[in-house]
Amino acid sequence: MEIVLSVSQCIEAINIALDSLGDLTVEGEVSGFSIIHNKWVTFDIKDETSVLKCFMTVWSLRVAVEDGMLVRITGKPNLRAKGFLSFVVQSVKPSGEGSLKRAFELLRQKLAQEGLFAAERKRSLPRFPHHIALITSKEAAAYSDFLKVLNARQGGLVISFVHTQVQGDDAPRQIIAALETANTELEHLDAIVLVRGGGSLEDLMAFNDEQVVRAIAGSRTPTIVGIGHERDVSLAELAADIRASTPSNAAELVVRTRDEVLADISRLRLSLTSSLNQQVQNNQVTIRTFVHAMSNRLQQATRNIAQLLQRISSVSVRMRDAVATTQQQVDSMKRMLIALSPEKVLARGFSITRTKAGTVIKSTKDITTGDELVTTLADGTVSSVVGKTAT
Amino acid sequence: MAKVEKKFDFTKGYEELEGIVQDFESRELDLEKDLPKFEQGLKLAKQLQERLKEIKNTVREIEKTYS
Repeated sequence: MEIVLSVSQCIEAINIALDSLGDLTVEGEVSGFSIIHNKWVTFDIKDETSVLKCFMTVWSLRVAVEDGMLVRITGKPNLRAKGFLSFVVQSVKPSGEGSLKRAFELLRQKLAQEGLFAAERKRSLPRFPHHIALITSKEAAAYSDFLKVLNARQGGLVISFVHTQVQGDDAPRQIIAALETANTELEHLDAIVLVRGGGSLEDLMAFNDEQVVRAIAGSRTPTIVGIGHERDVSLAELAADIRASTPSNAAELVVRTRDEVLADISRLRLSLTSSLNQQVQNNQVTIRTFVHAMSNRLQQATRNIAQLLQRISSVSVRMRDAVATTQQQVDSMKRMLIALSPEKVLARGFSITRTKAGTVIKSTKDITTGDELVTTLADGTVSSVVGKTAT
Repeated sequence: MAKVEKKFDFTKGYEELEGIVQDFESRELDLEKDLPKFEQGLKLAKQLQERLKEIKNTVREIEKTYS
């Protein structure tokens, strides 16, 4: 019996047959490249005679593509309900050095325009990192190079190592997952170090993968990327906070050597001690100045007192002289007075005659005949009566 | 969560020492009052030097398979 299919069933049957082909990788030149609503990507891939219509999501497109570029696409052909064949692309890789370089350059320009490599986004590492995450392949020389240099420079660090492939198709996904692990699962993380050895532009493709570059730029912890390449820099390095020239250089940029730090500590210590010594010296100078000033003042005071005593003593000498002079004057006056006293006069033979009333008689006119007189002599008195007066 | 032991905080110690030195250099010292601070500075310097004598780093492998 003849089997009749509907159109939909027919397309479904063809697609099942196409699926059995598995993933196909096709190389060709890109034309009509277009991004729709920032979600879907369509382009044609062609050689001299044939064209294949391609379709993919923006997220799957990890490299920059433009018309004329030679690429290798991997995916599955699919017959659309509208009856045309579309190649559903899972991944695109530039093919050949020219395309690789062009893709690199296009992505670099795009991300630079977004500001992913801007200097002002760069953070610095803590001065003394304690815990760092190391992302690389355990088999790579980069792993041992980094640790060797780190151990030679500093001890006491904790290194959380996350193994990833650093090359191959799955490397970008693993590196992004490792960055996520470091950022979300490691506590007190000071830095993330992503290293690998050198290689060709193709070997380093994971480090030019758009999502990897964005994950590095978006890392919460400061990142150092060090790749031992000879030629072009990778976009991952441009997006990192710190770019190291090699894995060993990454270790040099993470930590200073013990000797450098020890020298710094010695300097600080010296400076601390000398500040204090300076202060002690200042204080000694101040104290000396004080003592000096005090002794000066004391000497001054002593001198003043001596002068005062001197003055007092000279005053007292003058006082004594004055007293002596006065005493002499008094004595001589006393002698004079004694010489002039009435008693002394009477003793020399003079006498004083008074009236009976006691009035001293100085003139004959003071008395008349018959008046009673009292005469005082040196040793007593004589009473008499006036007989006669004459002048 | 992977824990990382924090013993003597080197960064904090270093910054504290730097702070003391800067403070001492910027002003007159009071010998009596500043002596404890001076001693703390010397202690920090010693601790920092001790810490630098540690030779070994610890590598912990974070077990993750992404494939």
